[in-house]
Amino acid sequence: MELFPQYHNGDSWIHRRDPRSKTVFFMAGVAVALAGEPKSVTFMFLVLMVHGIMARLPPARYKTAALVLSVTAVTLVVVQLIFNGVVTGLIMAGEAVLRLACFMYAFMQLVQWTHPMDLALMGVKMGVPYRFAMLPVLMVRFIPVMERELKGIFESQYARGERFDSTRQKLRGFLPVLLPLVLRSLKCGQEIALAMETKGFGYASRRTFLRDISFTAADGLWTAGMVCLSGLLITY
Amino acid sequence: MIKAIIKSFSYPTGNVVLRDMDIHIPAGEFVVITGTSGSGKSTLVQCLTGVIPHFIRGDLDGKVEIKGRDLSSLSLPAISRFMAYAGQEPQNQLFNLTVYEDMAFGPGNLCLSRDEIHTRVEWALNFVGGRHLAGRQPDTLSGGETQRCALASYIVMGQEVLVLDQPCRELDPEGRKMVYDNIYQLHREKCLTVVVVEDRPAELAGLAGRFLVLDDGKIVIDDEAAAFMSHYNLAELGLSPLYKSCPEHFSPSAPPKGQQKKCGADHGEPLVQVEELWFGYKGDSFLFRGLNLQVFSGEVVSLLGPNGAGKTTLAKLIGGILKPVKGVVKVNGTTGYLFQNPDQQLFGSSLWDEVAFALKRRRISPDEIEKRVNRVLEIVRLNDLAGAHPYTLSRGQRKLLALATALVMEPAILIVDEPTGGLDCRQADLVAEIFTQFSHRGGSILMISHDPDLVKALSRKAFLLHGGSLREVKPDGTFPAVS
Repeated sequence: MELFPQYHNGDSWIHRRDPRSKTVFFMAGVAVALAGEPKSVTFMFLVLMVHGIMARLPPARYKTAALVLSVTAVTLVVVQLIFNGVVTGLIMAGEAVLRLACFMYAFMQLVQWTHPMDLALMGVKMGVPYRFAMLPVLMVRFIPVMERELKGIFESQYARGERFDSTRQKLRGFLPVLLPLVLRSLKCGQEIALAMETKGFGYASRRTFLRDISFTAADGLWTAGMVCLSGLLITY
Repeated sequence: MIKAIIKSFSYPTGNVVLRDMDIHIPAGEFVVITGTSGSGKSTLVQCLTGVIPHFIRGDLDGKVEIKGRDLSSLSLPAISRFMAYAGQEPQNQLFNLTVYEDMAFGPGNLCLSRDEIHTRVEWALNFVGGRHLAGRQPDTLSGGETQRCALASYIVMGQEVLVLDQPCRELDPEGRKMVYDNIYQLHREKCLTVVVVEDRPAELAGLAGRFLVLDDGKIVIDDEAAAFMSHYNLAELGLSPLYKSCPEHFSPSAPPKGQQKKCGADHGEPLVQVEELWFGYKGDSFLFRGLNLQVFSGEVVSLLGPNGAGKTTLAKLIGGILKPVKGVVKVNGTTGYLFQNPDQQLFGSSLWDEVAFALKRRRISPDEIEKRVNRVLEIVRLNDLAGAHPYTLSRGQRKLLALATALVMEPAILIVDEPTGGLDCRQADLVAEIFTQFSHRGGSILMISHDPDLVKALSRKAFLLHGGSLREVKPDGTFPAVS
């Protein structure tokens, strides 16, 4: 199970869109999630879902996010019930969870249907030096490294007789590895940084990207549509 | 081409790692740097490539020049334009989404045209025999595949100096020969300067022109290839394993008196039984379709096969780390597991804590823990370093420590993945001795290894894993060709 979603290779209509229009789509989703009325947020969530289906993103990739959201939802409900009573508490908690779900979904779609290098190229096109434009991309790539390290530590513990069948066992196994995980991830990060430098990263003021991005008429229409829709939903 | 005068180098911890070095490597020379574990080979090449002092801090008293330019005045990206440095750990040298993108990363930084980048990437992947890996995610590669791709990601940049720290450590014998032959061809055709760090220099005898041997941070031998191979006994220098020269220790047919136990297929229940095993990673086709294997008490069974055949996956299935899709994996007894990459196995704050971890979790009495940990650390000869942090050890020592974490549980079955990879010859001899003693006491070992001498010395049974099926082969030190 992926802890953090990575780019999902595909050739759907959405995948082919320019990263700038995808970013606007994401921002529209976030804006409605933050500023819209609950009905608008629900509508936006449905719009996001339709786009997710169009991009053929596998539902299994949302498992971890759904789990995190469920835990957050339970916490929110408990807190709201304590401070605002049953009816108001449930309504407020439900609204907060809906907004959070909309935000998370929009973000997960952006990272899953946008190639990381396209995001870097977007920065370069906007005048950001490639050394800085590529940093967030490489930072996102660092997350699977941490996942790999965590998996390695768990496998190592398993090989030494630890078992992780129950939640209690998992927690018991996880706590002692937090510090080593951070240390090992830092070590990996250092090695990656060395590999990047010894491959010439940052020497010249520009570099050749294998990919290219272009803002087409379809991108323009999609972007305009999303801007109008989010405007309507927020002011509705 | 390379001129290095290093009076001394020490890490911030204070210990002097290199001393009294005066090295001159002319353009177009093929040099092998060798020596036992911890002799300073990797530190030396880090000095020769500018990684020290630009990236790794320490007190360097000396100067390294390449083509008359002082490396301390150039940045690492600037040095990378004429010198490739492929470090020891291939796992973290690939960091893009696909292998192809990783190949294109360096040439992209050199501002080459896209056509040129595509041509070079194709060439580099062919160079290491990894064309089929282009579309794979680096995280899904096996150890050997990762090393091939990491090497290619440097060679693709086309520099005039190649500095490679154990570039074939994780490769199968066929792959090692191919890569070293290709490096030699490249050196001849383009007159490249090549510096290779290699623990077992014999296999480079026909390729390299000069050998430097390090011991305790000093160059003790600097000789032409022909003179080096004829004047020195590699085994005495600790540069060739002794498996064959000590049959009384290493022949499984002659266990020491008092330690003899029945072993082999004719004696009772198997310790490991794999029946009709089916397995495939999520989203991939089946890697194994109905695989069968038995390992009996006292047996050392070798698992051979090319990189990416699924040897580690099979070992993890037997070790219980992975679950089969279909079929049965029965293991009668405790399992000890030695990972291919020891760093995946170590997370303690000291050697003692690392080894004691499993025992503490089992709530064994402190006295017993003390006794067992000390005994195991003594077996792997790391007892003097019990209080040190695992990351301060050399790779060979880390591997021995990882082995200690498996041995301390007193397992009935040891599953070991490339147990001598990254070890110098003396350490490899020690591992062979430990395994022999272990099997003579009735323990079983399932061993994945690309070390033909080790397989021949220890195993009486070997299986070739290829194309998802197992075939029994003779453990005679030759690796059946599969390509």
